[in-house]
Amino acid sequence: MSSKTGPGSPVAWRFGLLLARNRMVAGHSQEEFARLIAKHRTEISLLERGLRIPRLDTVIQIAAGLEIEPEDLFAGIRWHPGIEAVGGKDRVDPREFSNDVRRRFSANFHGLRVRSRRSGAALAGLAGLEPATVLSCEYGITMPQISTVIALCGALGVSPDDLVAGIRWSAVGSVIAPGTFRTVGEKALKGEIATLRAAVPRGRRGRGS
Amino acid sequence: MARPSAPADDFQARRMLGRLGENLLELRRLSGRSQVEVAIYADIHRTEVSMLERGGRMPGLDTVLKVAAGVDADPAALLDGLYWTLDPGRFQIPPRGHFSIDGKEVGRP
Repeated sequence: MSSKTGPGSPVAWRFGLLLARNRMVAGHSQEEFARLIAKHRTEISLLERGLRIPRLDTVIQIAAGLEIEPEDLFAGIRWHPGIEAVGGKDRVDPREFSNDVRRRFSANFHGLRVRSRRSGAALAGLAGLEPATVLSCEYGITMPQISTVIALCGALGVSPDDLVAGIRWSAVGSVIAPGTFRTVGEKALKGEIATLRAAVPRGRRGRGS
Repeated sequence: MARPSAPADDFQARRMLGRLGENLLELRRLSGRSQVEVAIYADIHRTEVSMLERGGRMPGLDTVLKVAAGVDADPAALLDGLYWTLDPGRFQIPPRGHFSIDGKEVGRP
């Protein structure tokens, strides 16, 4: 393998591993396979080493050549958006955002209260609040006041960030937290490819790898 | 490559793009998001979402995965109905020619 091998882009890298595996399972050398789908063998080599992100048409062509589903070529990699609740001036109904916030806060609060092993009434005592206020926050009935949020943080011994986790307001056009590609099962895939490579006689390997 | 393959490939690519645009529009309607919101979730420019819905641009695989997450769908759902037909005859190497005099083979290049 070339020293330029590496995850330049996680998408290219994962695609390359899956292409290499499925090509070897189908029993093609890089050169044979390139001829089958009318591409140059150097392109197959670049793709397998994760040095190039394929366009969609290439993905579909390769899937057709290997007689597999296109999704087999990007298994185990997904995009995770950075934002969980989006609001902004273009949002059709601002009340919808407020509902999201209330629901999300109630879920966060419930989780933290259960983890603290305290009842709602006990927490109300610690926070110096009415038990009814604590319950209506936990069941998402009312939007809590900022003073209530701070008092609950103190009673639970958590930071306000934990209570508002996942709640973000984003002005349209700006991204609060960048999304990421997440991959699973890299080790198993690499092991499988190493086994396949070892099984292929030397002369039949693609020239590019 | 016995005969030029560009027109057929171009046709297949355009048919694929049309289908991709239809799928994206349908999935976006289902998710109830605007093009701008999808662009924010997917971390791409909003014009790219509009371009993809109109079938005006062949996206990279990374964009496909981002847009699928942007409309809260599985990438496979976005690629539903997209296929490519390989023409096996197109890629056969033609038999080599030979020289002949009065129909009798006299040599090969």
